[in-house]
Amino acid sequence: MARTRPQPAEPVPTDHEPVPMTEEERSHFHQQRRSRSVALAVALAVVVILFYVVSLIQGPGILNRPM
Amino acid sequence: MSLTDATPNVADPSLSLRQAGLSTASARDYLALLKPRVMSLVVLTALVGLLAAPVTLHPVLAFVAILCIAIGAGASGALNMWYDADIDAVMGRTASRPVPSGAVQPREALAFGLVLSVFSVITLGLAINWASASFLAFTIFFYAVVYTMWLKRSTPQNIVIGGAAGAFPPAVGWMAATGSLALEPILMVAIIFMWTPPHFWALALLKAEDYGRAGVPMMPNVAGDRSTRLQIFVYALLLAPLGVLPAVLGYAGAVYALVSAVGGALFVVQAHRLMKASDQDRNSAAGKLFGLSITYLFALFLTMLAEDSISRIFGLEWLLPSALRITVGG
Repeated sequence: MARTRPQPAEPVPTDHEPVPMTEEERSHFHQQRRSRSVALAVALAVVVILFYVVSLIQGPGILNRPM
Repeated sequence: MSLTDATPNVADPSLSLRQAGLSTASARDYLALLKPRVMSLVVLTALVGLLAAPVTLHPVLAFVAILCIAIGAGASGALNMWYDADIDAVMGRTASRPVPSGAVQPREALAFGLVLSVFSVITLGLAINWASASFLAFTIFFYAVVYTMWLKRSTPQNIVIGGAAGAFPPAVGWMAATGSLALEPILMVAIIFMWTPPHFWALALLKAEDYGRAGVPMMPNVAGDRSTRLQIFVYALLLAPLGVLPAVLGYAGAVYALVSAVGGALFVVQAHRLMKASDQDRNSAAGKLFGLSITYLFALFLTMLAEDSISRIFGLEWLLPSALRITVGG
């Protein structure tokens, strides 16, 4: 016998619903979030590069090979 | 909470967004959590400790070590701002910091501080060595827990004992290079340790009302104005010869000897002026000593750095006598 999933009587509120904002608030919010995103992206890129270079120096010792 | 019924806040669009639980912090606010001005001193002293060591690190590894120490220092600053948000809010000097101003939520500051603490310690351990990583972890713990959470609100000796956390970076830098400790970095730590009380008490004299309102038992609020000024003078008397000691023991060169002797003498003279100043001249004298103390410490460590760099680049070993280096431990 097929089971049917019960349907909620009304939509369940989630934390992801967009928050209504005025134009000024939206612009300010996006500006601040963009600055955080750019900083995070740069920080992560630096971490990736640093770990890669350190692994070359400390790990396989590629940079320390005799010529 | 939704903004449906909220009226637009023309003066500060962040306010209603924060009330809706949205982060309005910019990257600049997170940078402010790291206390960049304190970090600059940490970077300088750690760099001097690292370069003074008798072992030369690969330049990239040296950069990573200094970066980790700087991030660790910044992380402890973020944890300090998270915990002290209540007292920062009632003090004029700190009310505009990211947490009391509302730009960064307390839980965001806490998460930021914890993540960076763990990241800096683990990265230093993996990339350099675990001895320096352990010392960095201890430094963060000492500043965030021993000083911020315990000593700061409980004793007028808060800055004397807690100052050790700010003094440790040269030793961490040295350990990053060598994996051990020696007399030379311990001397650098001692100089910063002895410098901290007169530096902060000069500021505390200027901000005594602020500290009193916040309930922080700084020395001027507990022991009084006269006693604090006397103690500043005593610390200056101890600091001046200590500052010259690296040159006397052969760890630093002639230029350092001159800078530390003149700087120490000026420090003592200004501390004496503060001690003898009338009540109306007190703030001016305290302000001058505060400024001089910053210049003094930067001058000592910049001179050490310059001497070391010049002797390395031009091979002028005579500029930096290296006798009497006593290595302790592995």
